[in-house]
Amino acid sequence: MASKNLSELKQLVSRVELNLKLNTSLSELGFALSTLLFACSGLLVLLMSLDLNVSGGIFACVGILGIILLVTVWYRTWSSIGDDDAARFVDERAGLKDELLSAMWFGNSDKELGESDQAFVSEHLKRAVEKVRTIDAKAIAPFSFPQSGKVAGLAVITLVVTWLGVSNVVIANKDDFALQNVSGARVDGVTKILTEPQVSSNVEEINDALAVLTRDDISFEAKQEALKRAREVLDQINMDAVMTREGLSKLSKLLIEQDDFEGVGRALEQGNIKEAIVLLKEKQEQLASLTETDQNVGDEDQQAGATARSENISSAEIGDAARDLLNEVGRPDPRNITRLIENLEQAQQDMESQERANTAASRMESAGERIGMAQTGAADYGGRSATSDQAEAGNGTPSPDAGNNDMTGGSLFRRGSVTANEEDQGDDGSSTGAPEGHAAALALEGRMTKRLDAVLRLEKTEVEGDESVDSEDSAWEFQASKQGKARAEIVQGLDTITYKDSDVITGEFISVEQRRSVQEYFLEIHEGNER
Amino acid sequence: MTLNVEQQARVFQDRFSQVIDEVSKVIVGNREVISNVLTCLLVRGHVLLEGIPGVGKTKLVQTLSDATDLGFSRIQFTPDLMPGDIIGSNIVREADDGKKSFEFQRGPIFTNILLADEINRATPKTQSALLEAMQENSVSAGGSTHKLDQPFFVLATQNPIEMEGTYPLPEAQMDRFLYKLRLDFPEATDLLTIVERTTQQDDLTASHVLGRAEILEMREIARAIPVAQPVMRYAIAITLATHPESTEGHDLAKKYVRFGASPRGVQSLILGAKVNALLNDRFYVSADDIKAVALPALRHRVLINFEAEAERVDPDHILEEIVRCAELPKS
Repeated sequence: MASKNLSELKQLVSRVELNLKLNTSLSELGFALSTLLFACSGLLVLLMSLDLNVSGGIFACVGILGIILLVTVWYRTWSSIGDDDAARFVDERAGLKDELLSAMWFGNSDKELGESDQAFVSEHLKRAVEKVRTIDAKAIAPFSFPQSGKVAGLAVITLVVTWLGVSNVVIANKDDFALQNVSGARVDGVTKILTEPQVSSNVEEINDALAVLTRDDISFEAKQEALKRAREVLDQINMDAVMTREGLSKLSKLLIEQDDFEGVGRALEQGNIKEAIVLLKEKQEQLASLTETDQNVGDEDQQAGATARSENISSAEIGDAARDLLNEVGRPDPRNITRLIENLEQAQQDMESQERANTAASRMESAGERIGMAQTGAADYGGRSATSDQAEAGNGTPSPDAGNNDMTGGSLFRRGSVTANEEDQGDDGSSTGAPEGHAAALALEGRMTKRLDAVLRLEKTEVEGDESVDSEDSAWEFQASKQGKARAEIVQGLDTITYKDSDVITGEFISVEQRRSVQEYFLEIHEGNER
Repeated sequence: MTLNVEQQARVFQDRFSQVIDEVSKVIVGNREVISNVLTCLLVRGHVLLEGIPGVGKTKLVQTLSDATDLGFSRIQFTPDLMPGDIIGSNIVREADDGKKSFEFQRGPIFTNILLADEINRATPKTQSALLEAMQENSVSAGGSTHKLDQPFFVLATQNPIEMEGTYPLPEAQMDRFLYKLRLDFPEATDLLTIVERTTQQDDLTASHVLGRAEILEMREIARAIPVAQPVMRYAIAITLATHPESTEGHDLAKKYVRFGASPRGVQSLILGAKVNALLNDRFYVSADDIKAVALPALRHRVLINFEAEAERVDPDHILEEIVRCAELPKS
């Protein structure tokens, strides 16, 4: 009977104990979780304020510690509640004045009691069981959602809000980092352009910008900035290419006039640098076979070549190389041919690099269009207004019809479309694509492209006393302008200059002939025939 | 016929009530004091009654002895009272044949209910004459030990305001008392009743409602009430809380208590709680029973220090705080 009573007691107490454990454990767990989440929020803010990376390792450590904490809290809470606690809880709730606690203790006790004492204990247990039967364990200790759950919910919200805030800051930092990369790359790229011939790095910079555009974790503004800066790098590349083209153009004209190098000049005129290099090398070999000093100049050649490679190629350098070549007395110096070859090779590299850069730029612009960054503003590209320069968009070849024939970078690529037997056209000097006399439109070289004066400027003038002119239909003839004449004289004068010490009058190494030629040039321009 | 526990408990409660009711016919108010006095009688304890003169201390004891049909002796303690005056002494008795011999002449202590009136007026030497009797229920005199009749119940009274010419009870003596009860000045209504009862022609007296055998039986019943260990540990925790040197001592005890309650304090708590549980029709002792008897059982065992006296902090205040803060210890 006593054991049956005791089992009933224990059954009730066990049920209450289970609910107590659940309620208490969940409550403690909620508080522990809240503490953990609030701590994580604080940690995020701390990491952000310290400018530290929110890496996966930190999350893993915090996660493991959190799990250990939660398990510990759960275990300690769960194990801290025993049947005595449950009995005491029921006593308090049911107003039993420790009856259940006492009964549980006597029921579990092995203490030997006297006869009289045992009688009271039995009666005590009997009364306790009778009261237990009237008690509903669920009513005494119902399972309820802990209040700490609300706190935990608040902690979750706090963590999410903090996380979102920190994520925005991190993305912004990444944007800054990307921008810094782009900016740094731009500066580095420009530096390399100016100091090193390895222009392929510029292509890499544009490719980097392309990578920035295709990334999803970078903001629109950052991409826009990257695109803008990449365009600037592209402009720089194109500017250098323009300079190179100018030099090549000059060189081709000079070489054409020389019998020995006419083939080279023609090749350059046609834009075939490789063929020109081949021809020059053949010429160099021919000269080398005639020269006894080839072996002695080998080292100097290498040094000169290294110097040439270490500098950016320009039209002036090409001109100098050519001039040095053509000013040789007797026969050209093989060293100057070597220098010219190296400059041409460098120019060839420039051209190829520009092509690669333009290819990368094309992909970059496509990517920009995909993300809605198509060139829309005047500030984006050379300061031109897209609304007034619609004909130039994408091509850059200016059209008088569009009203911007003085556009920066346009004049170099125009060639006259009018010949002596044709009527003057409205699109003189501008239109593209016509097979006769029209140059193929070149790619826009960018806002940094310098305006280049036309070498040839045709004008119709009447020259008095010129007997060679037919009186009937020779009222007009095509002739070089005064400026052109003067320039030709300078060039002609330069051709005859020999750089000997006796010709040098100052430390600037400017010969008397040069000074005189320049003086004649300005006199020709400003005084003309009245001189 | 053997009674079952419920019947025994019922009998206990009925008899207890009868005595209370009978004493209350003479003593106005103070039912709790009467109940506690009877509790001490039923658990083999002794009572120290404290109150100003005229509140009925002596009358209470006299009435109780009338109601219980027990032997009653009263000793008025004075400074010149000697131990022999209490215990008794050997006297020379001459036989019929002229032979003289010493014979122990029993003192007033050989009774069932002993009223030690104004016990603090006697010297400590005389006061200590009660020590053996109260603890061992025996008296040693003239080289022999004399057993006291049961029940032996000492009720001592003392006046708290007349301190001149008094000898405060030593701690060992105080510890022998199960309870220390205070009789407060009666309220107006009670005082009116007192005046009416004591100024009429016939004196009220209590009738015998409880005999010696019944009292001894009730003592057995009271002691049979089981106490679970958690409740015992609760009583111990309260006792330890009165000790300033204990790690479990209460802050107030550490500040104001010179000596805490002795182990007899725990015994007093448990015994008093048993009667309290039985009177509340419970066959087990709860923490509430311990709380109910904490003040009378411990107040005279907690010795306050000078600081407490200076700040007029009495042991009751300290014990109330201790009891309020005490919780059932976890298993």
